[in-house]
Amino acid sequence: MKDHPSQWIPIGLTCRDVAEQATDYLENRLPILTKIRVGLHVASCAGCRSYVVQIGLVSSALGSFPKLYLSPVNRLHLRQQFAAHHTN
Amino acid sequence: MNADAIAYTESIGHSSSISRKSQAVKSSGLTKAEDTLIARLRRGDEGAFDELVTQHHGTLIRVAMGYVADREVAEEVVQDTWLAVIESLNRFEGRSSLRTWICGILIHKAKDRGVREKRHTTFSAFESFDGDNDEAVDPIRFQQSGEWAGHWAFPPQPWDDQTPEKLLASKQAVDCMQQAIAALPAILKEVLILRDVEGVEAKEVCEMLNITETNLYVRLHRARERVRVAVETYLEGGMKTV
Repeated sequence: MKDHPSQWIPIGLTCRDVAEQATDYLENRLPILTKIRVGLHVASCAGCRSYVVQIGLVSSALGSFPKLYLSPVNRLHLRQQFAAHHTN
Repeated sequence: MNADAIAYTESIGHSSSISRKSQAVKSSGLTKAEDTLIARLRRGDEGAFDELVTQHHGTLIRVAMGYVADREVAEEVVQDTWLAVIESLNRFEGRSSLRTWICGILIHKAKDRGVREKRHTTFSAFESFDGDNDEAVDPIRFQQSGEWAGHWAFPPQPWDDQTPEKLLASKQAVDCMQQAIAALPAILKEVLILRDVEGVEAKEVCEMLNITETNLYVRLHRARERVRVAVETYLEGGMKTV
C-alpha cells in the first residue's frame, strides 16, 4: 500500500472522499479545482475508477428501463371521462 | 422566439432584467408546445388528451410506486390524478411546466393514499433516514486507521465488459435493480425514479419535490450507491457460482 498510485501526486483526497463525490463528479457539479483533484485521483486509483464507472453505469442502466404504458381499457376510460367533462 | 430563448426566459424565472418580449412568453411559464397542447385540451381535443397521457403516464406510475405498496394501487392513484387534471385544467396557470404540475398532484395523492392504507414507508422513512448526514458508501469498505485511513480496504472489483445494455439484458440483474429500488426509503426512491429512471431535469425534480439541488444530488448518490451494491452483490454471486 505504500506505493498506492493515488498518493504519487499529493492531492489530499482519500478514496472515501472521492466515493462520496462520485455523482457530483459525473454530473459535472464540482468546482473546477476539486474536479481536477478528483480526476487525478480517479486516474491513479483502480478502486475509485471502478467505483465511478459503476455509479455511471447504474445510472445509465436505470435510464434505459422499459417504459410503462397505460392499458387500453384504462386509456379508453380516461378518454371517456375527458370527453364527458367537456360535454357538460 | 427560438427554443433556446424560451428555455432562457423560463430558466431565469422572475428576473427583473428580462426583456418585454421575453416577459410576453414568460407570462405563461410554458414552452410553445405546452401552450399549444393546453389550448387544444381546453377545447376538448381528445387527441391532445391522448398525447398528454402517453407522454406522462409511465412516469406517473413509477413515481406513484415510490409511495404506495404495489402497481395496482399506483394505477388507481394515477387514474385519480388524471381525473383531477381533467377537472382542474382550466385553473392551471402555467407557473410551472405541465409535467411538474401533474406530478405535484400525483405526489400529493400518492402520499395521501399511502398514509391511508398504511402500506408505505414514506413518513417513517422521512423520520428515520438522515439523508444529509449519512455517508453513501459503507464506511467498512475503507481503511479505518493508519497511514491509509480513508482509502479502500475492500475496493469495488471491475465489472469487466459490463454495459448498461448487458445489464438490462439480464433478467436477474434487472430484477435485482428493481428490488433495490423498491427497498429504498421514499426520499431516495423519488429522486432516483424522477432523475435517473425518467430522466427529468434536476431543476424540475427540485421543483416537484420542493428540495434544493444539493439535497437532490446527496439523495441521488445514496440511491445510486444502494442500487450499485445490489448489482455488485448479484455480479459477485454470479462470478462465485461460475
